[in-house]
Amino acid sequence: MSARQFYIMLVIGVFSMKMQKLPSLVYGELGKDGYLLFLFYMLINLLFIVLVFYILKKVKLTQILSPAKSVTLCGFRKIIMIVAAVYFLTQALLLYEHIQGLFANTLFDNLSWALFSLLLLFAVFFLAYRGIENIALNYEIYFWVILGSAVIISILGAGYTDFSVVLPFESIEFGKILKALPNFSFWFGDAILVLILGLKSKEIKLSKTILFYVLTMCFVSFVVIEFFGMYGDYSAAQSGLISVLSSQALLGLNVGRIDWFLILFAEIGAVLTCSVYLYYSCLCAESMFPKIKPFSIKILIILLLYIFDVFYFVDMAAKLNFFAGDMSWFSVAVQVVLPIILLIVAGSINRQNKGINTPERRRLK
Amino acid sequence: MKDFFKKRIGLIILLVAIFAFPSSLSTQARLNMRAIVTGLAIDKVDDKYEVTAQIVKTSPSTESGGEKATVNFVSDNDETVIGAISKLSYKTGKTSAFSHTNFIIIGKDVLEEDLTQTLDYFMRDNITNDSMLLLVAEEKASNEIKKTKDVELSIAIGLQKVFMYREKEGDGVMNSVLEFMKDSKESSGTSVVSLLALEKNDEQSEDNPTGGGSSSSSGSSGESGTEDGGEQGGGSKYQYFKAQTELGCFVDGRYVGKLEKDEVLGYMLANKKATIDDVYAEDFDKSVFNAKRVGVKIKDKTNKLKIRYENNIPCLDLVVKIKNSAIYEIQSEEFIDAPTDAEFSEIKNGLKKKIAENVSKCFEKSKELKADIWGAYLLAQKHHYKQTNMYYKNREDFLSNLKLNVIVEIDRLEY
Amino acid sequence: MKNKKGLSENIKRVFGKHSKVENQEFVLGENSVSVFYIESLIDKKLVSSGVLEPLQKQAKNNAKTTENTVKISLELLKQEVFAVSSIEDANSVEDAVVGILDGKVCVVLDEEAILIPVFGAQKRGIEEPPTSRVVKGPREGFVEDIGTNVGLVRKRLKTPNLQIEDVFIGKQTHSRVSLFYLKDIARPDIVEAVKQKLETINIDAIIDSYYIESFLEDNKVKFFRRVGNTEKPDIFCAKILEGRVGLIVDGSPVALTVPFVFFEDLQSSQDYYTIPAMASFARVMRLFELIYAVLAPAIYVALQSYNYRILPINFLITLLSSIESLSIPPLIEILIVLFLFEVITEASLQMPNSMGMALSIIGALALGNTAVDAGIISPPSIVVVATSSVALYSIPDEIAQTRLLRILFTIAGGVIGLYGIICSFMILVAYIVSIKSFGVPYLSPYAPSVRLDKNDGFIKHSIQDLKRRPTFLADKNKIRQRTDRGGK
Repeated sequence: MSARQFYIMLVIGVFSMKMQKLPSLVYGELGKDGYLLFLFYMLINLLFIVLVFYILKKVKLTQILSPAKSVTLCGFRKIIMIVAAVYFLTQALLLYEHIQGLFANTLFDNLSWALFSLLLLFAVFFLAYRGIENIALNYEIYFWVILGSAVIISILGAGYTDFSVVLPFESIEFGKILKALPNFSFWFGDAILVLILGLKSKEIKLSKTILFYVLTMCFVSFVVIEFFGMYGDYSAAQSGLISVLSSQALLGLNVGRIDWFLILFAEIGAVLTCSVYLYYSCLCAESMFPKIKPFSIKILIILLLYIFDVFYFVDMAAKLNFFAGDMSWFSVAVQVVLPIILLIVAGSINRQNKGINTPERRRLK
Repeated sequence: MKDFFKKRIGLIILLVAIFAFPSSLSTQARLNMRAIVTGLAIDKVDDKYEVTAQIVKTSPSTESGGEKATVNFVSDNDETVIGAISKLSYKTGKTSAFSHTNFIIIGKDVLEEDLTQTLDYFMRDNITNDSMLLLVAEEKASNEIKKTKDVELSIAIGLQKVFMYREKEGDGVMNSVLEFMKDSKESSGTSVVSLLALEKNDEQSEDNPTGGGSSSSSGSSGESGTEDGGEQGGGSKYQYFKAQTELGCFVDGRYVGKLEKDEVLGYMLANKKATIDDVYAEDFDKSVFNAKRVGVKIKDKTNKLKIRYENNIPCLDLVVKIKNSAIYEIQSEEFIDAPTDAEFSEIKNGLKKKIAENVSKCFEKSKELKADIWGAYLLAQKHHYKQTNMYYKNREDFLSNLKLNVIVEIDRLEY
Repeated sequence: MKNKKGLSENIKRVFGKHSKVENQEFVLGENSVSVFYIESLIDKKLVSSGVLEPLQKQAKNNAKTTENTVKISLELLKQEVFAVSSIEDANSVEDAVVGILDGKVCVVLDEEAILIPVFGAQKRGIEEPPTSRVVKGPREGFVEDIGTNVGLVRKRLKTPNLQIEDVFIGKQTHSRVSLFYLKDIARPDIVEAVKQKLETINIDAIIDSYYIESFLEDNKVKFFRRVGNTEKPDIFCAKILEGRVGLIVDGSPVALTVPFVFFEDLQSSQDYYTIPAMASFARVMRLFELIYAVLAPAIYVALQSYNYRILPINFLITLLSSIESLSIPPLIEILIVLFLFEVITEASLQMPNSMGMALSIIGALALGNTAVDAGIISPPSIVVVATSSVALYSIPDEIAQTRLLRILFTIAGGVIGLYGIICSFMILVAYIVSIKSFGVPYLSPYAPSVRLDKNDGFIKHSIQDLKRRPTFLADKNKIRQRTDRGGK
């Protein structure tokens, strides 16, 4: 993957995840000051991104995936791979749920999702199956369409928004926001996204990564404020940010809801990001079980995705309980612990490269 | 396994498509089995909600753009609004489709309750449009909606556009369901909605202008909204209508009263969305300018609202900045071809006085109704949070102490 | 290598009695010279004046003189008798037979033979190809004769770097396939790959360049072509100058170029002979037309079947009144209209001119008033499918693919609405993105994105700005234009 592809995937991956149901959930918990959650997470993720870049300098993907004896984590490799596979699967599932919410519940009057989700499942699987390089090329092709659509949607909504919804600043309860941080960790695994994409990319720079990430999060925060300003207390009752932001805009033109095409273009980003997570979930699972054919593992994971989506997440309460409930701690754990473990690995490799653990030194001791 | 799937991928896709196709037939919208609802009216009769729907009726001769399309009205009642809406399908024999519903009229009996409860369904449902125009009828909403049958372009464009233009010209308010609900939930809790009372005008015009919707946008504020409009041939279905220009005030979703005539003018002069208006300036100094009154067309104006505290008393500075205006009428016994500089200045002063007067009238009425129509309390909380919370724990206290300061600036007045 | 005695006899035996191979014998002193040729393939005047008449003269001269007769050899005949150039030696019976079949005159003396190229079979004149018309620009097009085609290329690329390698493929047709490339520009790996693929072809006959194209493709199951084609020598030369490898097949006016990227279909030779702004506009329009052609019926069906709330109320009412009397679902209706259009398209390709007018009227009536009045189809569906069918021809080379895709998308849209269209579109793009043509990604220069290559992309820059060859084609000699005059 080239550096350009990396930045594109980062930008789209970051805002696709957040411009779905998340703002409604955040408003329901934190009210009008919920946008600060996004800014807090931005700062936290920035720290982790710096850490991730240090790791990327020292560690290669092959060292993580293959059971090389020289790597410190080899003893815990399987556990880490299982955890990572589950984590990426849940991320893919989260996005899949959001896409389902848009298509099945918003765009259509009624849709038999158990049957018709097979097409989306196939699309996501097909993308993941073709590999990350292929997905990266897809991102490049769709980039301007997705970004342009998202920007136009936000512009369309801006005329009908009261941006002073953020006031007064004196009423902000920082404690409440900080307490609510872990509940939404599933949506903010941006540092992990940088890590997994960075392991496959060449010549990426920390400064550019930070710049693009900050710009994207600022855009997301702006859009969230716009959403809160447009719907006020009814923000919590909306089905998703991306599908409602432009709903007020085209009244004067009487052209129907042609903004739905923009919404669908922007949603392509979510499908691509879902396939990225699915790909990495499959990759981690395959490295754990080298004896089983990779294709069989892929089929198994896709079946798990389908089963969870159709049979487990039958309603909004089930989804919320899973992602914003107890399971959110699992996400926090992965997002914090995984980089630390890789940091230890990086340190170990660094020591090896400096010749501390060479056979000669051991003999001298 | 991979080869198994690869060789049979075409067959798998075909099988899925074969299963999916019959299922899709049952879930399709089938437009000709849909009743397109373009308007709703909600009344309350004997503790039950009566919902009347305006449904588009097409025929093969319906022309493009909705010309010659007619509307039917279907009513039913139930204990809840959603229940009544669901029952409409039984009468039409088709599934009701609310995605193109342009307006909703609330009847007088429904005003007794909290409208935010009544309209909550429309805010949460994905399919109904929450940008529907909200109107209030002084009597029964079902009577008003039935009158829209003869209003030209009612289907294709709808009252929504008409009120949009009226709002711009200071002749009404185009408040959507979303705006109403949002305003009601905010700390100011006040929302202003247009009242609708359509009257058939039996006078036939001898002029025959083209097309021209009968609920057209031009109208002089301050009058009871005489509409201009065209008649398409004698005795056609398109009639003249008069529509009231009155506004209803709602506080926390409940109806508290209405603004009339000069109060409406005052409200619209202070409304950001109204950029055009007509005002009559009066009370001139006869030694400077001897005229009864001067009609001024405001072509472009902006408004600013600011809250400040003076000795802990809240003061609302309401700036009305007229960027461009023109004199279109001078009522005087002598013929005045062009006012002098001094006269211009006098006209401006008269205009300022009139605007301030109207705005103050509106303000007094809003205080009387305990309605924070300009959102002063919300503004105060946003910009002076500590002070407001310290001295005024609730909105009523705040409003009762609120003072108004109207500042009128006129940049350009042409003749 | 000499054959056994009786080279002439061997040749006669190979051809048999009914092969229409002419044979003339001339006695030159002690030697007998046999001349073989196929009359319909040769230039009779040239053969007569350059070969037969000189031989006759020589035979007469030999007959007159009795002393000191010079021993006649083929070398002597080559140098002093025949008034033609480019004489080749035939080393075996097979060479001689192939040469005769190739339109050459075979002269056999003792056990040696030579071949004289005098090809003169009837051939089509150079004219503008019907699928690549231009308003302004060259109008020459390739013909079926490879000699002429090579000449058309040679007269444009007057450089010793132009390499033309010939390969003969087809057991029965022995078709000549010429490989063109510029040795200082083309990537050697691509040239080698093409040569290897050509070497693996073991087939009876090559009737058209499409046969070669099939073998050059990587996959048997292919939907999008990975080999470019053109009938115009100016386009062919331009592609070779960019670093591509070109192939011309004898008997086919369609020349092939590899590698091929999707964007080439959106380019037209007209773009290079007009102002850049117009070229850019045309390219963007072609893309929109392509998307419209493929997706319009699908979107129409999807909006009608599932997502009608997107439609403006005016249009919705018009649509409602149009479909009032229809009893069939929208998907079936559109498929019927598509079917009717396909029938008309196929019939118009095959029907004789004399029937054209009558059947056109029937087609128009059937699709027009009659079908609508019968309540089978509605007017909006005809408009959508008709405009889509016209838009298909914005990219004539992709007609086959776009016609099929149109139907597939229509089914997807009819079965599951806009969701089905979006998912199907994503699957299609994911597939296209993974295609490679001789190692070059199919969607270059947009995926992967190469900034400099986009100078000749959707926004076409002026000729002065096209300084570099596409990076995916040329890895050496990348600069094609310099600002200093006369530099290398």
